[in-house]
Amino acid sequence: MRSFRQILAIASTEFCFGMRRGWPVVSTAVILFVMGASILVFSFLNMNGLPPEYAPELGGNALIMIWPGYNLLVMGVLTMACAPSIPSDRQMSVFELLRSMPITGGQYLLGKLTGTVAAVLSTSAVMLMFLLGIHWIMIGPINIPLYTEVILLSGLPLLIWAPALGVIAAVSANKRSSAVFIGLVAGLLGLLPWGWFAPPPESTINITGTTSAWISRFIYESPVNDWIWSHYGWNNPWWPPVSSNTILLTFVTVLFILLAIGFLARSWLLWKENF
Amino acid sequence: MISINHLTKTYPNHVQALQGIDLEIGNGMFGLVGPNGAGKTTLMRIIACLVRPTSGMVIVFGNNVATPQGKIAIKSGLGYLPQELGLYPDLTAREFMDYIALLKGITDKGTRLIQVQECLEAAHLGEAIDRRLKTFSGGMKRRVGIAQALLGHPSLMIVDEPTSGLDPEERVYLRNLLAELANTRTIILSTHIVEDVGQSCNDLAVIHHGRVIFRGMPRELSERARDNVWIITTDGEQPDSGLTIVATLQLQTGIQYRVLGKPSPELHPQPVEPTLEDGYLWLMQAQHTK
Repeated sequence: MRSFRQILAIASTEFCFGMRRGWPVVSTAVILFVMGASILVFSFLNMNGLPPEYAPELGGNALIMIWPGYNLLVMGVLTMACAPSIPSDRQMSVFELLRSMPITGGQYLLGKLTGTVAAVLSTSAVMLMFLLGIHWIMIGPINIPLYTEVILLSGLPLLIWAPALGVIAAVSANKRSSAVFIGLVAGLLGLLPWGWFAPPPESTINITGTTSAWISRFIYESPVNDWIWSHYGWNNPWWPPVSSNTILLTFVTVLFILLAIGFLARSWLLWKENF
Repeated sequence: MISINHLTKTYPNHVQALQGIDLEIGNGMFGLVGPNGAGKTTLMRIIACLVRPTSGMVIVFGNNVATPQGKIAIKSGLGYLPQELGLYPDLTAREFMDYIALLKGITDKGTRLIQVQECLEAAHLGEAIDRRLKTFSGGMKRRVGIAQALLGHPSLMIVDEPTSGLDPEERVYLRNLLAELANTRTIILSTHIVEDVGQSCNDLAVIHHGRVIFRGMPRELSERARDNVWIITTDGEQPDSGLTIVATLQLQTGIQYRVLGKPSPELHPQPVEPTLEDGYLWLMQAQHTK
């Protein structure tokens, strides 16, 4: 119980810092604003006098088109923005004091992770409500099943994965600047597991060679997204259909990687900092 | 009781910070003195379970610093003030203290509120309790450091340079506060200000090149310099180079030097009572000539 309260204390302080210092919060807000604004503009321009019944379809189409860009932004920017969470404590010379507390490095890491992810998710929830509200008022109703599926299977996991990856990857950094760089690299590499189990392309139309096809797939596509899109009639002509087993395997792999690097980070704190 | 046996610490860059320390530290205020790089901070960080020893054993109130259970048990009863303490600038003193109290395991909100208030008042920060830490002066930040170390009524306090950045009045107050607290616990005080140790510690150790070169009471260290401390007054020229000048005072009749060593009789040296600083310098001089 005491350990739980200690982890919660670290998490709530980190959450407050997220809200006050701002980088994770500002980045999340900007990314979601860009995404929301793109959907609104696309839908607004294409509505062009059509009745409101067309709004869900147009909004859905816009979401599907901009979603790969959102994935890139989240992994590239949010991972970077969340990475200085632990190095900030070092740079502010608070880390030594925290290490003298009756907590373990694992509890500290878990608290930091929880607080950062909570700050990102809270901001996302507020921004999402705001943007969906505007969509409803200005364009018309939204495609609720599509949005639910996208949020639960793709948006939410990425919004947990990116900050967690950033915090864990930069655990050894001494300065915020180096943490930001580590976060950027980790974020770009963090895209890979999402495309890992994608079936090989059936053809390479418009793409020269298999290697570039794979790179393209890692960066712009993920089996999870393809799986969602296929439910709404958006089958990518270049890729074969994705099975639910592949989706499950992808999530298990991502979770395993998260646990593995979390364990490595905790071991590093113990070995290097006796924490 | 803290028991340290054959303690060594070698850093990965092959710097030997501690070379076989043996110490027993009981209740009360214990002073740790030594020049920069002597190994004081390393020793204190090992006792605080922040650094792993290379060899040897440290037992703090029956708990071994090398075991995970021992580490948590020691930290549960520890108040630590690092030499370089940063604070979260956006938090108020109350918020910061509340955070530290929670980390120390004080989960009951009522107890926490009372302790935070008490500790900040003890550090003369009662009126600044709701101010953001970024508005605090250097001395006030140091006092927040002291206040957080007091949280949880620790049985062991480790304070590294607690008086640095404090004005003379605050320094005396803090010294007295620590001496008062030392009645019921062990406090390890590391400082460059030898006077602070003399005024508040009943037991001290001098560390040099990772070894304990003196262990005893402050009076015993002062006594080391007896018959070697002199006052010499000249009309301007410095005493001969074999002497260590401890203090220089400009007088109307010339310059008065307080020196350590054996001055020649032509200088008409006047013997004076040795202070703790004299004893310390005499000891260091002996080390350098070895």
